[in-house]
Amino acid sequence: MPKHFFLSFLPWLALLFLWELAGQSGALSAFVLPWPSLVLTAAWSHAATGALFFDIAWSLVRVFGGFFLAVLLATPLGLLIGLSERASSIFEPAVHFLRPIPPVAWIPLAIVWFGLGNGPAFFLTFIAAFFPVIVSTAHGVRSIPAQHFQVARCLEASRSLVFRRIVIPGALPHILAGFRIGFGISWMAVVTAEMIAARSGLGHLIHVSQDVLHTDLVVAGMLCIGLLGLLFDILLRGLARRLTPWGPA
Amino acid sequence: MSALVEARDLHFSHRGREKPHPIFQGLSFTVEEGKILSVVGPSGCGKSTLLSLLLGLLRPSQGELLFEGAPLGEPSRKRMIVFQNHALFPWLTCLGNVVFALESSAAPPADLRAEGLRLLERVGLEKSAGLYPGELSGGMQQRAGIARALAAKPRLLLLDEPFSSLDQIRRHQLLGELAELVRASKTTVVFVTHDVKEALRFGDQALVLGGAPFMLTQPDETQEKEIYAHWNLS
Repeated sequence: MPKHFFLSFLPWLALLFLWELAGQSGALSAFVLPWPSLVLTAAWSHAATGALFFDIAWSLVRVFGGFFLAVLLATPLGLLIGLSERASSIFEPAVHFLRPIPPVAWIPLAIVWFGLGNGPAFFLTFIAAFFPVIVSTAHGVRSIPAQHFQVARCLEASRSLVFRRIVIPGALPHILAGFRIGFGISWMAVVTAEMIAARSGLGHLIHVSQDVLHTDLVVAGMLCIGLLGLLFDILLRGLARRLTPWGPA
Repeated sequence: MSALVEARDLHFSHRGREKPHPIFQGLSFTVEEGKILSVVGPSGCGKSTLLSLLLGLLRPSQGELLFEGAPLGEPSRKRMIVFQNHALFPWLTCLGNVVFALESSAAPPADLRAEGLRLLERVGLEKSAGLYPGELSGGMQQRAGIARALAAKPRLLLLDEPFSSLDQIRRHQLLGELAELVRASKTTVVFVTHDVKEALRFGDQALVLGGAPFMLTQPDETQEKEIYAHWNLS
């Protein structure tokens, strides 16, 4: 646990307290910005019916589905691009052309291709994670000092040994950083996709709640997204520390 | 005593933007088997280039470079290097680095761990086997690099300014230890340094680069002034 773990909660607690105080004193409108106790009540009642957990579960399924598919395809492709100049010439221009297009811009095409429902959301989370993972992985391979490969060459190490003992661990910190960034963007993309093209999930909850003027549920949905995003980032950071014990993750 | 390495009229130029930048123009020297050749010279005189040529990472543009009496070919386990920055794999432990060298062999030993520990013991690092390079001091990293190089059982060990990051006292101490270690392993050594005293003290022979290169077959510390005079740095 970090040294100042509990201290890091202090500003948040202060903010929540002031926010609640402003709401209770009448300085805030419950519609414009519902205060914490209203948000908690709305979240509790939504959770009691099981609907909140249903939405969270669907969002997670979509994020993990798209993210894992992206990791499965982008990691080997990134390794290939990092290792081979020929592969880099073939794939990298396309990667750098497609990478700046925000995932949200794919929504119209995703709806045309996959219809409404899960398809566009999976596609968007996939696209969102794919490019950060591929770019970080390729960069990770290229950041391995040339001297490491020279040592391996002098030792007459086989390609397979170089791949297992130098390329993978050498690129791992960057690969894991790519996973963290990709997961964060996937999480943002799923909410957007669910707001437009799905009938479940936290994005859908926010969208529907806005339609019926339940801003307390809108904020509850936003808080769930923030908390889950933070939780997974902490988990990924922990995983990175465990997998790269030789240096800072 | 036979020559393990022989350079005859060696020419090498780096490719410049406009024209080639000559580094060696007719360099000749020999490295006797089991001896230590110090290579000394100011920055930019081609010390590291010479190591790359001896490793087979670069090719001379003219002249002959012989190893074991035959033209020096591709990099091989017979010629190992310990780089200035050690180039240990930071993600492998001290033992892991040595084991990597062992398992790279065409016929790796049956018990990699035991053999790795034996090599670390030779350089006095058996108690640090489980530490990562980032947890070792500069001198310990250097010894780990030497253990990794010796794991390949090279005939020629190239040392690229191995103690440049250490203070004078520690350098002096480690140099003595290193000399003992390589003499005990009967490995032929090419030791590159920019420190004239170090080169004269450590080497059985010394190759002075910078200006017109020349060999000292029996270097001793009284020749220091002669070398500085050669570089016009008296």
